[in-house]
Amino acid sequence: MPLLAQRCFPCHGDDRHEAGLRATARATLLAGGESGPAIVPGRSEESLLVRLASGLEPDRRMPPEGDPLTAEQVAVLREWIDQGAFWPEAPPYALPLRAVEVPEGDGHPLDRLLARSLADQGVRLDEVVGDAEFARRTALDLLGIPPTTGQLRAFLADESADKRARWVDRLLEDQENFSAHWMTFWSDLLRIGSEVQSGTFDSDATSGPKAWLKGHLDRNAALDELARDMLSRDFYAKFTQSVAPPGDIINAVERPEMQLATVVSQVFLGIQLKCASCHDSFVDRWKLQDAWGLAVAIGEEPIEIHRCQNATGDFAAASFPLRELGAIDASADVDARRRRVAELLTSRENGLFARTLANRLWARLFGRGLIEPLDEMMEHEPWNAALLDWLAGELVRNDYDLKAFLRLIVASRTYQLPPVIRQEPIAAPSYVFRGPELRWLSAEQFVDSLQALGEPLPEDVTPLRLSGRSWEQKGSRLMTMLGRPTRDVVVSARIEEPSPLWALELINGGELQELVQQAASAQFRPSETPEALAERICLALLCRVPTAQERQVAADLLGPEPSESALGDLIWSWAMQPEFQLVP
Amino acid sequence: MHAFRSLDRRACLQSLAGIATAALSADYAPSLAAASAPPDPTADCMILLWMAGGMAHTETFDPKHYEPFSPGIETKRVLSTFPAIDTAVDSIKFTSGLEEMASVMDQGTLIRTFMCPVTDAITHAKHQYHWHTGYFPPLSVAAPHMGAVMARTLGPRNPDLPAFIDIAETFAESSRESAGLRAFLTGGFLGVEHAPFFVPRPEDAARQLASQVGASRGASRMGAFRKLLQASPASDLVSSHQQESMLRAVDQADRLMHSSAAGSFDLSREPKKSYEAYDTGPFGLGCLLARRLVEAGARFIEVHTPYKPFGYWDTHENGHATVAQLKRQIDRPIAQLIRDLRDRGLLDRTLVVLASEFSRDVMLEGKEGKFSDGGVKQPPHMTEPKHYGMHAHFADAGSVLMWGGGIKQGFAYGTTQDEHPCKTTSNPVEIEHLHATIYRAMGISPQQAYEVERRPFYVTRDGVGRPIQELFRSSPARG
Repeated sequence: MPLLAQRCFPCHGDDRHEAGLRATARATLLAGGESGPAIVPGRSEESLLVRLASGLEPDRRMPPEGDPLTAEQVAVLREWIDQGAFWPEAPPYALPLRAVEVPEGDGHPLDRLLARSLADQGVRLDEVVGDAEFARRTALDLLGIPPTTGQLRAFLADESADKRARWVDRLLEDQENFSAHWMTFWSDLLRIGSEVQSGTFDSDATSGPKAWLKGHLDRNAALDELARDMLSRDFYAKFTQSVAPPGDIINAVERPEMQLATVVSQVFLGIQLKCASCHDSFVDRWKLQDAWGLAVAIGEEPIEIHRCQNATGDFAAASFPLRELGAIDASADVDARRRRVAELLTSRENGLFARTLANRLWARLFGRGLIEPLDEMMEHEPWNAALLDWLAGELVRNDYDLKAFLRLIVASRTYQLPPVIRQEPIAAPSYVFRGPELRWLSAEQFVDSLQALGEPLPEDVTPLRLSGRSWEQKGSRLMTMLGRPTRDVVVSARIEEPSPLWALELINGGELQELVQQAASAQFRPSETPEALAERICLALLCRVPTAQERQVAADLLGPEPSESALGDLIWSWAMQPEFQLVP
Repeated sequence: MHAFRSLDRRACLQSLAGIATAALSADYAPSLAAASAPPDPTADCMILLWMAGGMAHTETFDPKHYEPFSPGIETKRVLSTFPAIDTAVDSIKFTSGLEEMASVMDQGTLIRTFMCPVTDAITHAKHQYHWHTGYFPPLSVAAPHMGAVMARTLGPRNPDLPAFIDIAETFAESSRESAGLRAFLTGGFLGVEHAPFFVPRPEDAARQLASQVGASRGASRMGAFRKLLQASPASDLVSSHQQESMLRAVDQADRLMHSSAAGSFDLSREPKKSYEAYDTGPFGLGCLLARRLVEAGARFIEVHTPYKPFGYWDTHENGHATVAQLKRQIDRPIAQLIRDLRDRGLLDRTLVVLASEFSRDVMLEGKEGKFSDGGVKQPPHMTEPKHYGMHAHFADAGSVLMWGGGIKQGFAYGTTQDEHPCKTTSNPVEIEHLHATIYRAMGISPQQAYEVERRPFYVTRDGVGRPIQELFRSSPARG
C-alpha cells in the first residue's frame, strides 16, 4: 500500500485519475481504467499493474517518470496480488465496554486479573519494591517531586499494615503539587502552552487555556467533564487563540474547528483524523467526511470540504466519527451541536472514550500502554483486552475521578512490582507484561526535583511548597533537551533519549548549574559535617542513605571544611546519576 | 537510621541495565527505504549561510537598472539601488558592495530564480520554516530541519562533534513571529538527538564548551560523578554498558569538551590576520567558525544573519542603507570562507549555500488593490531616503548561491526580467528541487523517508523533489 501511495497515487489518485484509473481502493483497481482491470487477484502474471510496473511492455512502463520499480518492489506487488490483493479494511470495533470477570480470590482485582500471566513470566506478586522506592515512585508519579526527608522518615518509621495506602492518600491530598504535576500531562495532550503558535501565551497564567486547565485540576474535575468543557463556547475561544490564531490560518485544515476536532478525537478517542482532514486516510478507516463532519459539528458556520487544500464543492454534514453512537442535528445551533458532540464523546455507550483515557493513564504509570501507540486505539489489539476493559470500567464506575483511578492502580501489587527494563520497541507485538517499565524523569520532574532542594525542606511531614514549578515556566534549552515538546502538535509520548547534546547541556549548561547552586545555597549549613551533608543530599535526591564508598567520594569532594560550591558539585554529581534520573 | 537501607541491589541492577537498553528503544521515526538507492555523494558536509528576513535579489546578486536616489524620483524606475559590478565570470554581475564575493564567483553557481510559493500571507516565520524543512507550517507533525535530516541520515562526520551546528541565531527577539524560528530549528519528530547544537555567539563558542565551573572544578566533579557511579551497588554492570545510551552520551559530551575537535570552536586560536579578515561581526565570525568546524569534521552548519522583524534583511524601509550595511557584514567573510576552503582543498567536498526565504520588490506588498497591514506605503515618487530600497515581500524570483560540493563553477542558472518586477523568465527553481539538489549532493535520496504516525515523511515534500542535474559539475549518473 505505501508503494502504491508513493508511486501510483500521484497520477492515479482521487484527484487525478489518468487513463481513468484510481489506484486508491481495491474496487477501483479491479474496475481498472481505459486498458481494463489493473489487477486480477490471485494472478499477478495477468495483472496489468505488474506487467507495466515491471517493464514487460517497454512502451508503457509505469510509473513513466522517475526510477522504475526495483525487482524487490515488483515482487512485493506480485505477492500481494497472488495472495488475493487484500486491501486492509478496518477491523470491526466493539464500542461498549465488556463486562470483565475478575478471578475470585483475595487481593487487589488488578493483581487477580494479572496473577496468572505474571506467574507464567516467573514474576511473583509478593516481591514488591521496598518502602523507600515505593515512596519515591509514588511521589514522582502522583506529584512529580520526590518525598521530603521528613515525609520519608515518617513513612519508613510507620509500622502499620495499611501504611502504603495512607501514604498515597496523603500524597493525593497535596492538591498544589498534584495539580502542578498533572498540568504537564494534559498540556502535552491539549497543546496548552503552545510555544509555536503564540509566543506570548506561555506567560499568560491568569486567563486562557492554562488557567482553564489548572482550574479543572485544582477541583479534581471529572475527566469526562474536562472533555465536555473543551467543547464549550468558553474554551473554544481560548483554544482558538492559543493553537489556531486567525492570522495564522493559511488553509482549510487549519481552521480552528478542524484543529479542535483533531485534538479532541486524538486525545479522547485515540483516533487520528489528521490524515482524513486532508484526504481519505490511506492508513486507517477515517474518511474526509469524518473529519469535516466533526469540524462542522463544532464550528460556527458551514464549511466547504477541501481535499488536499482544493475545494471540492461539497459541504460536510455535521457528524460524529463513531456514527453508531448517534447523529447530530445539523439544523441545531452551534451550542446545541457542541453539546451533542460532548454528549456522544462521553456517553456511557462510548467505551472508546474510557479505554483511551485508561490506556493513557496506564502508560503514564507503567511506561507503556495496553495499546501502543496511544493514539491508535482502534487500530491495534491491547495486550490484555480484559484488563483494558476492566480499567476503563473502573474509570467509569469512579465517575472519571482521576484521583480515585490513580489511587486504585497504585494500591495494586502489580504497580508496586520492581521496575522492568524495556526489551522491545514500544509498539512491539511481542511485548509481555512483567511490571512497570523503568522510566526517565520528565523534564518537569527533573527540574522540580532539584528546585525542591532549593527550598527550605520541612523536617516534618508538611507537604513541600515550591516557589515556582517548571510547568509554569517558558520552555528552555534544558527543558527541551530533557524532552519537553513545543506543543505545536499533540504529544502523547515524549522522546526522552540521552544524546550528546543532552549530556552537554547537563554537564555545561547554565540552567542546571543555576539549579544546583540554588540547591547548594539552600542546603548548606556551615556547622554540619561533610558526612551529615552528604547523607542529607542523598536522602533528598535518592531516598536512601549513601553507601560507605559513596560517603568516601562525597567526603573527598567536600573536603574537611565544605563550601557551598563544593556542595553544589556534589549535588550535580548525584543529579547526573542514572539512579536519580529514573523513576524507580 | 537503620530504616534507610541502600537501594535494593536487584532493582538497582535493573535500573542501570535499563540505561543500556533504553538506547534500543529509539524506535520512533524508523527510516523507510527509498524507491531508489541513495546517490553517491559529491559533498560530505554543508554550510548554509542564511540571510534571514528576505534578501532582495535586485539589490544583491541580480542587478537591474540602477537608479540613484534624488528626491522626487519615480518609484517604479527604481529596480536596483546599487550599480552593477563585474564578477570573476563575464556573464554574471553583482551589485556594488559585493566585490569580494564577486571575486569568487568563478568558484560557484548562482541561481537567480528561486521561487517562493505564494500563500495568502507571506510571512517570515512560515517561509523560513518552509525553506528549512521543505514543508509549510502548521503541520500535523513537527518537521525536522534539513540539518537534522542530515544528522539522522548521515550521522556525524567526526563523532567528537555534533552533526548539526547552528551559529549566530540568538533568538534575541521574543515576538510571536520570531518564536516561529524555534519551531524549525529543531530535530522535529526525529528528536532532540538530531537537534542543532546552538552557538549563539561565535566569539563565545569556546567558552560554551569550556567548563562553566572552571576546568579544574569541572574535572573534579566529573570525577566525582564517575566515582559515585562506580560506588553505586551496580558498578559492575555500569562498566559493562559504559558505551551505552546515557553514559555514552556523557562520554561524548565530555569528549566534545576536551577532544582536539573542541579546539576548533576556539576562535582565539586563529591567526590574527585571518581572524580580522572575517571579523565583520557575529555573522563574519560565524563564517570563520564554520570553516574551522568543517576542517574539524562537522556535517551540517548553518550561519545566520539573525532574524529580527523589521531588522536586518527584513527591510520594510530604509532598504538601501540597511542593505549597504549588511553587505559590509557578509561580503568579506563569505569570500574569505570560499577562498580558505579552496586553498585547504576542502571546497570540493563542502557544499556552501547562501539563501533567503524570499526576495523583495520596490512596490507595496500584498495583492493589487489590497495592501497588507504590515507593508510600508510606498508613494509613486520617492521624497525621502528612507523610501529608497526594496521593501515589499516578493516571491517570483530570488537569488541562491552555491559553491563547492560538486556544483558547477562560474555558472548561472535561470533568468529574470530586466523590467519591473524582475520576475523569473526561465528555469524557475522550487524549494523541493533545490532541496533535492542539496540532498543529492550530500548523498541522500530526495525520496528518503522516515515513518511518523504510520505514514512516510519524505525529506523533500512528498518525495517530489528532483535534483537539478545542470547544476552539477559532471552530471551524476543517477539521483
